[in-house]
Amino acid sequence: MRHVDPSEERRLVARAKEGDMDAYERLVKAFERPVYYLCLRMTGAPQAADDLAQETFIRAYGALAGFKEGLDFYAWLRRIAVNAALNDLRATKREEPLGDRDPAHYKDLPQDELLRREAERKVQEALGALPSDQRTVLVLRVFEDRSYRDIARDLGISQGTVMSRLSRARKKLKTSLADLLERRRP
Amino acid sequence: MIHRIRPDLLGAYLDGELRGGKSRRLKAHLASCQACREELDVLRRLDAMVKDTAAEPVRPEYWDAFPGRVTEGIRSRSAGPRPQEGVMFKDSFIVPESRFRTKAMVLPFSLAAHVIVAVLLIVIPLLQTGNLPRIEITSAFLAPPPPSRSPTKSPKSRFPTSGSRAASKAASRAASSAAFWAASSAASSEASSAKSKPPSGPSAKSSRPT
Repeated sequence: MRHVDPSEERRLVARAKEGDMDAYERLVKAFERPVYYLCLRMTGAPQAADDLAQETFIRAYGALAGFKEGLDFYAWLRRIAVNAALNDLRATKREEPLGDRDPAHYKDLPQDELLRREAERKVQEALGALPSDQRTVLVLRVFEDRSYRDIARDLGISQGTVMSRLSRARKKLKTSLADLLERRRP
Repeated sequence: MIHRIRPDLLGAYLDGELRGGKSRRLKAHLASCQACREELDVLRRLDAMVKDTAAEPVRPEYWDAFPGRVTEGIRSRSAGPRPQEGVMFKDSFIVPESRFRTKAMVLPFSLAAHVIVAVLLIVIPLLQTGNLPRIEITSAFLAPPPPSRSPTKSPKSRFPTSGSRAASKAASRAASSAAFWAASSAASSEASSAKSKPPSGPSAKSSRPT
């Protein structure tokens, strides 16, 4: 996940706190992809992910003075991104299915690649069909590899709620992806 | 076989979130339960499938331009007012945005709703008199009729119809009025006869009307 070593990260953060925009641009460059893909998986819409990723870095710069030295900079960015995405989902009620890939683009692909992309599209659709609270917990657990404790703290919910939301999300995914699971049975 | 393992516990076990006795009990159950082992395997494959799903690829030019767009956004915001920064972050923990604008929009509707409820529950019931009990006020001059001395009362007289009741009331008022005027005329004739007699003492003089 890290695209810059910890000592360099601390140095860049210290310089950015002093108003060095070049240093902050280097931090943005280091974390743009994980932040963008986190927003994309939470919202399911590339345009919204672009807006939210930018918003995350802009807000983070404004709040940089409050960032405590020694903390994980990406974990801090992630909290800002998750909150921004949740606020956006609440405000716009954006519940579009994840992935807007047009199957017409797949027609010239080889058979194996076609099947793989079709499977990916189904997974994206199944993720997009989840309620945003369940999808957020699943994204943080599966893609970001966060512990229940971290997820609970970041979202302001109990660990029991994290566990039950994850369980409901997995149950729905199991139903909607039953044919893919059967195909991939060892 | 009866399963006592909740599905969320299986997920927590998969995520390495179960500790101590719970983890040991679940492990022991899995050793003896084929169905739960299969369910755990499904959850494991499901997570792998989701994780392996590639996100929509983004053109390299996008990443090249991204930091510059962020810098531009920061500069444009710092040029204008930045009202949200003070309330959004406190010790790097995120505080939800203020919903003042939403509250300001909702307030007039809330007031209107309260007024409507007050009109429905208080004002309208006060305006609707309905069938209120009728109170009849009789004059002090119209004395009630003397109690009937008839030994027996027919059911008809005990429960008169509205027409007969009105007629009987009118008759009783007429009778009492006649009795009143008869008594008045008797009193006045007595007074006139007393006036023709000479006064018998000083007290009579003082009581004479001037």
